[in-house]
Amino acid sequence: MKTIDIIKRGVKNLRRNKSRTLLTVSAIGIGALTLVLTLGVGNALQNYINTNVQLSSSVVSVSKVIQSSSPDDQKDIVSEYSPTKIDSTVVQLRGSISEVEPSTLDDVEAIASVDGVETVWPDYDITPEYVRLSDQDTKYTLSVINVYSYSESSVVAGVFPSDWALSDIVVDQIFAKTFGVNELDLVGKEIVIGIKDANGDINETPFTIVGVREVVRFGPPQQTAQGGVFIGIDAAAKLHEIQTQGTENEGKFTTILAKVLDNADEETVIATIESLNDTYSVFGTSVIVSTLNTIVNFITIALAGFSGIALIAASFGIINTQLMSVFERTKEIGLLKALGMSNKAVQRLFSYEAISIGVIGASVGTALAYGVQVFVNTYFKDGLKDFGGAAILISIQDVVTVILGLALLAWLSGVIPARKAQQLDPIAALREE
Amino acid sequence: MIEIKNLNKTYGKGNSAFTALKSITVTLEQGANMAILGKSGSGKSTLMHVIAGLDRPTSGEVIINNVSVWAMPAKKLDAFRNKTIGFIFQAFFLQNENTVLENVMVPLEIRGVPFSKRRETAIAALKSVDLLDKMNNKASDLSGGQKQRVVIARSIVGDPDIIFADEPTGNLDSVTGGIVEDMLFDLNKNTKAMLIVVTHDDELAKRFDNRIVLKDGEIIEMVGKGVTS
Repeated sequence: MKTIDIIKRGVKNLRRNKSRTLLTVSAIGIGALTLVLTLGVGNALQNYINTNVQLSSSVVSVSKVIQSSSPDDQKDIVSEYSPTKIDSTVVQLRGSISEVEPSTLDDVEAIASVDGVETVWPDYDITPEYVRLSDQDTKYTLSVINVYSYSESSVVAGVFPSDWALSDIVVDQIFAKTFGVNELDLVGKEIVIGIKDANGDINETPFTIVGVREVVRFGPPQQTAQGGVFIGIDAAAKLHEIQTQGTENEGKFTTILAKVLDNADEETVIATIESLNDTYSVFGTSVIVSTLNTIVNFITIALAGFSGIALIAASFGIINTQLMSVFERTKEIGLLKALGMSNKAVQRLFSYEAISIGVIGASVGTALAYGVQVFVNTYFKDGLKDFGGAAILISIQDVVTVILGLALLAWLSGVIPARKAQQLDPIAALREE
Repeated sequence: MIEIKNLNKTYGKGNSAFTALKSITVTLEQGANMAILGKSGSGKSTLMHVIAGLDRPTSGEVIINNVSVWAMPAKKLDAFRNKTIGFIFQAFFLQNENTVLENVMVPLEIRGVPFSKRRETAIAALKSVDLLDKMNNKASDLSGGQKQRVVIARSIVGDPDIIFADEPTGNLDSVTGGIVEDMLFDLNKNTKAMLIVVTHDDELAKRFDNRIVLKDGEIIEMVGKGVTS
């Protein structure tokens, strides 16, 4: 019997039992819909991560880690004394407790010589006492001093310099209101940052405001308003020196930051830096991206697993439908066999029917998923602007995988009914009145 | 020519074993017609099924046109049945939701004949049973006599060497039954296909050139020139 005739016969039978076929197809369709949507949301998330996180300039951080342990490794004795460790500090580095040896300017120089590295600077840990305008006496707290010379940031007034002078400073928008000065007027004003030196004396360093940074606030409104400033590397070095001169922390840094050239491969640079020194532990955005992608993948697969359960339930529907079909068509099968249809052809007839249900269901589900994608991405267009423009991105690859997967699942579901049909004795079938 | 050699068929095993056919040996000449006569449970349907390649005998041989039917592998046997044998059933076994034409085409569909050829042959078969005007009707719309004529068309569409009919007039009144009978005998004459009919109807059996009578799975009477043991 020709394959096309077997398929025609199968389709005819599916059409004969319209309502039953429709119900089974719906069950598969709903499973396929959730599966395709889940994969689509996963794609959108991944797309967002890849375009937004990876596009910003890549800065890697380098620490000299002597010993690292994850929070899971509980120790029940204190560490043995070792003179080499005397200089080290224990910090929490990216989720694990690490014993870090301080880096020095020698390390900065060594890293600067690596191919693909644009700028290297220590991650200056500066604790400011206060900030005030030169022509005002009121001092305000300053929550953070950022060394931010490697990326653009949007300003409401002035500029965000790409080449920072020693006295350049960009302040957060909040300081305009704090100082009671118009944002535009703030640019060009002199500002003073007070820092405690080793003796506990306050040292004031003057800066000139070159820009007022726009701050987009996320999350719930905060009880205490905080403000930060941005300064260049050289200025940060100066402040750090004031703070640490004469202390044991002078010229010592926990972490060194290196900006990777835009055309260089971050992973290669990381590998090169790590090869310089056994203790160098390097962390970059590529690691963040791959970590985030792993998390998103994990969530996507977990959610897809739930759709998978729905699909397994739906596959029982196929088994049930096909078993009923075999039972109903006992005489037809008997006749076809008596007239010379081979067991193999009978088995194929029922397998094709099962596969058809799977493929039709998958197609319906996919079509619906596309509908949901268009609806969500259009209706929530404004809300999705900051999210890469799409909450769902269905890929052709996923669709093909889902349809093929469901065809396979349907085929497997059809195995038992098809075998039952194949094993039917034509005489017994024809004897039934 | 059909040669049946020492055919035995037993259902079940041990104490519950039931012997349906006992040492049946019979030869039917090429082109002949024959009635297998017997009461209910005499084994006549079983014999037909065994000869037609539907029911495997416990022992013995069926040789049709010098081919040993039960020595063939299953797939070959299916093809053999499709090509060599036409079936007429008392209960018709038509697919009611399909058209008359579609029903008649089934044997050719199974054989893998292209659609246009299939249709052409089926129309010719319907013409010979005088049902051409009903070819696009659903099988369920036909009367009993018309249904049996469709079944006859289906049995001859594949140009078989032997047509087996199991109580072909059992479900019909005497007038339509007579028409169907005449049609079967005409076919036997005109197409050279052998005709083997299973029946419990003495009157019908008498119209055949040859007949064998079965009782409890054994041949108790054999009549006709074309049939020898």
